[in-house]
Amino acid sequence: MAEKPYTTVEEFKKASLKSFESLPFEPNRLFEKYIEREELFYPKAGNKYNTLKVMSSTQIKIAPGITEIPKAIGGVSIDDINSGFSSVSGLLKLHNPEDKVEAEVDALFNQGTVLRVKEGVAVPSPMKIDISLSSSEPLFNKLVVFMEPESSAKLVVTYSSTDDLNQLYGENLDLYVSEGAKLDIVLVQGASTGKNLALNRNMIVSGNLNLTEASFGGGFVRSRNLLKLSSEGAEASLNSAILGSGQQYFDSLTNLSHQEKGTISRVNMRAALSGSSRVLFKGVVSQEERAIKSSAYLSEHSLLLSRDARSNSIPSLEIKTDDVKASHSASSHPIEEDKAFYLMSRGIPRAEAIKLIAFGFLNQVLSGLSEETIPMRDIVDKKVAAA
Amino acid sequence: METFEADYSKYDFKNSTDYDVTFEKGLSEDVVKRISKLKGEPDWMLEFRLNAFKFFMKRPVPQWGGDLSKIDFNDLTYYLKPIKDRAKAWDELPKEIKDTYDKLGIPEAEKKFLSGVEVMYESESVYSSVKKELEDLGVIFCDTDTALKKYPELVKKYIGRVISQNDNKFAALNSAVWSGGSFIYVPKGVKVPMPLQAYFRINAESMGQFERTLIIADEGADVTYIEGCSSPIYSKNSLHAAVVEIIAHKNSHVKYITIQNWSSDVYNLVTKRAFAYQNAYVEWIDANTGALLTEKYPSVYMLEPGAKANILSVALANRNQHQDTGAKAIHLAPDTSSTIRSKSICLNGGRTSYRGLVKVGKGATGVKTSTKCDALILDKESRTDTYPYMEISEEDATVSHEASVGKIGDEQLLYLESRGIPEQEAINMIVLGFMGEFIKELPLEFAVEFNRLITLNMEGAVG
Repeated sequence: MAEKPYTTVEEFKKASLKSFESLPFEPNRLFEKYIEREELFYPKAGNKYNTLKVMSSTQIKIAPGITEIPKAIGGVSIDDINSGFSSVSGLLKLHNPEDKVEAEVDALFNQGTVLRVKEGVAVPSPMKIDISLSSSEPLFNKLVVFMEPESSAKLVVTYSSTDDLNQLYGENLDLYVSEGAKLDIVLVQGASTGKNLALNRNMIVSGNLNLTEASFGGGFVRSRNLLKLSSEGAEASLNSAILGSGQQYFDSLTNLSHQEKGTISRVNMRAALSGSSRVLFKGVVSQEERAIKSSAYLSEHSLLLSRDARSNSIPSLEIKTDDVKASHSASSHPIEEDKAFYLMSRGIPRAEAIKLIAFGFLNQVLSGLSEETIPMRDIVDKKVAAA
Repeated sequence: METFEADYSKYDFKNSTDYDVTFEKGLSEDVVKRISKLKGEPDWMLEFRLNAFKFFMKRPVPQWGGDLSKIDFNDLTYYLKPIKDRAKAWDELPKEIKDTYDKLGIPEAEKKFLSGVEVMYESESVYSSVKKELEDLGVIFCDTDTALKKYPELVKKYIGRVISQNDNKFAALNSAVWSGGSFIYVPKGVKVPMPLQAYFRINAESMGQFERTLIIADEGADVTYIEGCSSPIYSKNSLHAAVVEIIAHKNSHVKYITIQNWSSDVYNLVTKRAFAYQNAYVEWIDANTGALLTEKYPSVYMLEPGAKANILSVALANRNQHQDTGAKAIHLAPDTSSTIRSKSICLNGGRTSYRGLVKVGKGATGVKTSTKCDALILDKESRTDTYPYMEISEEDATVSHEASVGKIGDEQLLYLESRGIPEQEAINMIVLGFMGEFIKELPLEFAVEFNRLITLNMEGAVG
């Protein structure tokens, strides 16, 4: 692709459609053996989602449900991607999707929003976006968050449904965090199980990013976290707690690249799985030639609560220079009987004890977040049926 | 300090006139038929080879690992028959080779064997006493071609049972054109008192390009086998595709130790796999320091309750080398357990990749498995990767994986240097300490050689 910025949304979409058509299902050979049900995310004759419908720019709306954004505070702007395009067109060139679904969403999005926090602005209260998935129409949403230098903000995105109709939701969440800026983002994914979600997070971080996610909704949840630490000293932590039940499938990829000196990353993935739910944790953390004195940690842990639950994980590291720290850990285990026994000996029934242990397991990656932000205890209560 | 270039090409020795029979380059059904005919094999083996050849032709070159695109299958020779009496003067060998052997401290007799100068006269007496002892125990230990002639039923029963002809492209290739390798059968309850080593056998085919090794430990048997040696081995062909199959019956123990040090132009693509039955214990101790590219993942399939696996994989990648190695532990029965440890070092732009799979199948309850990978990266041109796959389909499995990567700590170096140890020596000490777990698994004389081999590789690592 040419290096000059896109001039219009149409041009961007056209380029995206082209890459969608040429990209393979799985760009990384490491993970080819795990391609599964990808067809859910592509148009298919006979389905509700059967043609590629590229909306014209005038049809693109701001994602509804952007609420409680403190409009009173100067320094935060929210635009539909069309009118805000000139301010992001340069950014869009920083990243060429390698993921087919990500390119698809870029080509097809019918909601597009640019949220921009101006230089030096510290947004005092959390900004909230509620995404409602309550229809059977496929929905493609692109959300660009641009943190200018030295700004700071907290953003909470929730996904919920009021129906259980089969629906495809594709989302590209692009986070650009400039030098000196800090973004805390919390994602609470509680869609109904009729919804198949493709959640692509494309993050380019020069400052500090802290992403925390609780994912317990949806039928097939395909998430892609692509993160580049692109300036000296940039830091990111990704924390993800997955709670699966029934037939839920969570296919989660984290592709994190340390590109510069002194960058720090911490990735903590946890999944508690009951019923015949499944998780696939794919991780690649790479430390590039210039990333000396960088530090990386990647962990993928699963707690299996039932015999039919399944966990696959591939926590990979690729290290291309010597003066770095890198480690990873992964595990899979059942409920620890000594913990259950301890709780039961204090009069807590077994079913409750299991819920408590599962909650404790997941809560370790949600540390610091109030029940109000993520009502994890409630969710565990509802989802972990008496085992 | 005396300088020594760890560049194997300097002391590779090539002499193509040393072979009785050399096939023209290229592979075809006809070549496969001729190999089989030349060896006077039974029809079923010819069929085995021809089937494998078909699979080989059908399968694409694997893309997931190192770069295999430069292998030209039509530019390889698939069968060589060495001349039996290779009486060539020791003095004719290039000085560098002799120096290398001296540096590694290889015994005189072994040196001559390795260099192909002459057969191991000195060890012949050792060998015959070993042979007698083994025969008394009922142990069969010979090369696989001989086994096919003398024990066709045993070979027929087990060959290809663990690694089928269609397992992967290179196993298919091996199945089509294999020659040599070791065949070991240990009867019920027999514990072999000493490690078996291929170089006990006076047979040059033991180090072929497409060797096929088959080890069968009957119920309650115990055997240790040592493959390879620490001195660089020149290979005429640039492709080495071996297959090693182990069958460990109930309550048996098999330990397989490898030190691989092919010269640095060789593609070393080896399939090694063991079937472990009830309460059997299989150990792979696998070290790779040579070759241009190694792709080797010794695996244990635990098929019955109580089976155990221990895999220790060691890799050293120097200039231009890529060691893509690892392990697979496949748990298919209850109460099975496995331990995987990987130690790797890369320097001078070398690349080490750990690639492993831990799988716990449905119904394999009470499984315990742990993996630990440590990588040492000695300079900024080098690269190290970790690709561990974990597929867990049973709730009550306890699976853990850890990996860490780092360079030699400045504080470690400072500590040693402040005690008057020169930097190079300090590096050697730290590296050997890092490899300690592996070295202690080796018989003494191998450990000494391996220590020297690592030290040789480390020369010039200061900086």
